[in-house]
Amino acid sequence: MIDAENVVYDYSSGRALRGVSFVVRAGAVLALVGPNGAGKSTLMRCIAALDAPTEGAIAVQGIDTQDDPRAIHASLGYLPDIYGLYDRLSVRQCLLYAARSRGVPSGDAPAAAEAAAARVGLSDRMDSLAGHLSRGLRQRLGIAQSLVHRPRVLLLDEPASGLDPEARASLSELIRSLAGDGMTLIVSSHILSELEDYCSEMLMLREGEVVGGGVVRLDGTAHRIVDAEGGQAPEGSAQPVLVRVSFAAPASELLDQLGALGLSVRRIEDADAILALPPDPEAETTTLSALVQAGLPVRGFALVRPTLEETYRAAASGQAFGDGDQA
Amino acid sequence: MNPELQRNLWLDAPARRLIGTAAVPAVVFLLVWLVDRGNHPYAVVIAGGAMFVGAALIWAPRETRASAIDEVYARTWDFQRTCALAPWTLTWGKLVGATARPWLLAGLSLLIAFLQLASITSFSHALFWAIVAAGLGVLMQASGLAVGLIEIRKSRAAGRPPGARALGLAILALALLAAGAIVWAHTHMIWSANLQGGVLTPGRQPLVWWGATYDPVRFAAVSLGVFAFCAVGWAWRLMRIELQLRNLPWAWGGFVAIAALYAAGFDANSNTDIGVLDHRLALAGAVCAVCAYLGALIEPADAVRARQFLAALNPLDGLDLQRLVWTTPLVAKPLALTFILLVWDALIRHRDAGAPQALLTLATLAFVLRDLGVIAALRFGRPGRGDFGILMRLALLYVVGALIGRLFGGAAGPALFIPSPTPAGLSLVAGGVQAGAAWVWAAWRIAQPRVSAKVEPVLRSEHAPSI
Repeated sequence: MIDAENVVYDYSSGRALRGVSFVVRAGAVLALVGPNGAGKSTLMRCIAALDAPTEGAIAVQGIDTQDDPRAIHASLGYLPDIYGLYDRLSVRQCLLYAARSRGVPSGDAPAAAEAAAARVGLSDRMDSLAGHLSRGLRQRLGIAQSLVHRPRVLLLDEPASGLDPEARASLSELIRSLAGDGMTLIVSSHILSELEDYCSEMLMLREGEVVGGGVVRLDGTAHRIVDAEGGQAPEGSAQPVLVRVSFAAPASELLDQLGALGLSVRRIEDADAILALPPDPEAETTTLSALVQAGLPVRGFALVRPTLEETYRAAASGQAFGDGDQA
Repeated sequence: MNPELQRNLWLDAPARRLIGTAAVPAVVFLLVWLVDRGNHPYAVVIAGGAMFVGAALIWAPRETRASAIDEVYARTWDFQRTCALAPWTLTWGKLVGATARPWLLAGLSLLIAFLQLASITSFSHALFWAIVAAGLGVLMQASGLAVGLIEIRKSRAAGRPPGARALGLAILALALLAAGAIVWAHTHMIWSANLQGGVLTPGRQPLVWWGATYDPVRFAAVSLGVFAFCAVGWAWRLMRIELQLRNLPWAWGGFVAIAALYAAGFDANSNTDIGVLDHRLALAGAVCAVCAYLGALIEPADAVRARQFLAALNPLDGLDLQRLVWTTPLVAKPLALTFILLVWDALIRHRDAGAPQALLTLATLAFVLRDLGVIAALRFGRPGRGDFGILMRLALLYVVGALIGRLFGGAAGPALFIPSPTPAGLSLVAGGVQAGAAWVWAAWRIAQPRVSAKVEPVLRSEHAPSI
C-alpha cells in the first residue's frame, strides 16, 4: 500500500531523513514512533506529497508521490500535527467544502458530509461554528474533513496531542473503527501509550533513520520484524514468544528446574516465570506438557504481550523484548 | 459551483456584508450630488474613479494576497494543498471569491463613472477607460495572489511566518504601475486639455512598434490586457508549484524573451543619435536585467535546491540534465539573455561609437552580475531578510561607493563602484572583480548548513515541517 525506498530529505540546516525504507501493508495501522526531531512529521509530509524527498521515492497505492502528487492528494487523507479549521464556517460547511474540494460530486457531498460527521460523532453539531468547538471536537472535525472522501489511506500526525483522556479514548475508538473498515492508517506519536490500543505495526525513527530493523508487526502474541518488502524477516531475526507461567507456590530451585528442561528463562518473580519460546504454536504445547510432566505445580500459562513501549525500547536497543531481564 | 469560490463567498460575502458594501458608492455618489449639484461634469467621474482605485487597485489585491497568506496563518494551507481541485480552479476561486466585495464596490463605482463619462464625452471613449480600469484591476489582484504565494514559499524556505505587512505587494504594485507608465509614455498618449469643453482627451499620435504603425489607444489597451493575462498566468503557475506540480521549465524563459521583444519593438526616437539596433538591444537587455533582479528576489532562498543545481552542473559527477532543468534558479535564464544581449550591444557600440561605449555596456553587465551575487549572498545568509532591506543595501552600495570613490579617487573614483564612462575600462574591471567576490561569497553562503536556534519553534508554529 505504501512503499518507501531510500528516502532522504534535506533541510537547509541538515538532513532530516536518512535513507528511510519500509513497506506498509494494506489495512495496517502503523504507529510511526520516535523522539521529537526524529523525522516523523517530515516523513508524513513526504508520504502526503506535500514535500518532495531530496532522494529516493515513495509510492502510495502504486502511485509515485513525485510523479503524480495530485493523485496522491486525492487518494489519501492527512491531518497534520498542527492544523486549523475555518472557524467562521459551520461544521456542515466545513465538511461540505472538504467533500467538494476532495472530488466528491456536488450531489453526493451533503450525504458524504453527514456520513463523515456521523462517523466522528458530530452529527448533532452540524450547525455549530467550527470556532466554537472544544479541542476534542475540533480534532474530530479535522479527522472528519480528512476522511469525508473515503480515502483508502489516512495519515494522522500526533492526533492525540493535547486531548484529555476521554477524548483520547474516543479517538482510539474511532481509529479502531476506521481500521475495521479496511482503511490503512499511519499514526505518529512520541507518546507510545497512545498508540497501544489500535496499532498493528510499528516503525521507529531516530535521527532520521529507521531503527529496530524495519516495520515491527504487533500481532497480539509476538512482535515480528517485517523486512522492507513486507514479508517476514529471516529466521534469526524473529522475535521470541513470551509466556508467563504461574506456579502454585514459590519454588526455591525453580530456575534450575526450568533450566534442566531446556527452557529459556527471562525472569522469575515469586511464583511466576517469564519464558521465551520459539515463535511457533507447537512450542507452547510442548513446553506446557514438559512442565506438567516434570511435576511442577502449574497454575497458569499465558502468552505475554509486551507493551509498545517495551517493544520500542527493545528494538531501539537492538535486543529482543525481555532480554536483559533475566533473574 | 467552484468549491473554493463557494467557501470564499461563505466566509467573506454573506448578504449582510454585500448590502453594506453596495451602500458605500450609493452614499458617496449621493454626497457628491448634494455638494456639487451637477455643476462639475467630472465630479462624479472623479469620485467613481477614486472609489475604483481604492477598491480594485488597493483593496482587491490585498484580499487576494490574504486569500493565500491567511490560510497559512489559520493553518489550513496544507489542507488546501492536499485537495483534489485543479490549480486553475483553486486560482480563480480565490481571485473571484476573495474579491467579491471589493469588486462589487469597484464595479458599481466604475459603472456610474462610465455612464457619466459617456454622457460628457463619447461612449467609445468611456468604454476604453472602463476596459483599462478593469484590466488594471485584474492585473493588480492577480499580482496580489501571486505575491501572496511567493511570500508563502519564501517564508517556508526561511522557516519563518509569512510577512504580515504588504510591503512586497506595495513594491510589486509600484513596479507594475511603473511598467504601465512606461508603456503609456511609449504610446505617446499625451494629455491635452480642452478647457473650453472641460474635456480631457488623450493625444492620438501614431505609435511605431517594430516598424508598424498602431493606434496608441488600442495598443495600450491590448498591452494592458496582455499584462493582466500574464499576471493571472503567473498566479496560476505559482499555485501549481504550491500543489507540488512541476511547471514547464521554458515558460519563464519564454516570458522574459517575449517581454524583451516587446520592449525592443518601440522604435528609437528619431531625435537621438542612437542606432536602431543598439536601441533595441539596450531596451531588451534592460528588461532581461530587471527580470533577473526580480527572479533573484522572488525565488525562495532554498539552499538545498541551490546545492542540487550546483551538483547537477558538476562535470565530475556527469551532467545531470534532468535535475539541471528542474533546479535551475529563476535568475539564470534572464541573466543569460542579459549577458547575450549586452555583449551583442557592446559589439555594436564598439563598431559604431568606439571602445569606451562598448566598455561602459560591459561594465553595466558586470555590475548587474555583482548585484545579483550580493542579493544571493544576503538572501542565503539570512533567508528571512526582507526584499526592501536588500534593495536598500544595494542602493547604499552604489551611493556610498560613489561618494567614497569621489572623495578618495577624484573624477575616476566613482568608476570603481558604479558603471561609469570615466574611465569605462576601470569600471569594467572593478565591476568584474566585485562580481567575482560577490558570487564567491554567495557560493560560500549556499554551501554552509544553516543552523539557527530560532528556526525550530518557528517551523513548528508554522506549516513548515516539524522535524
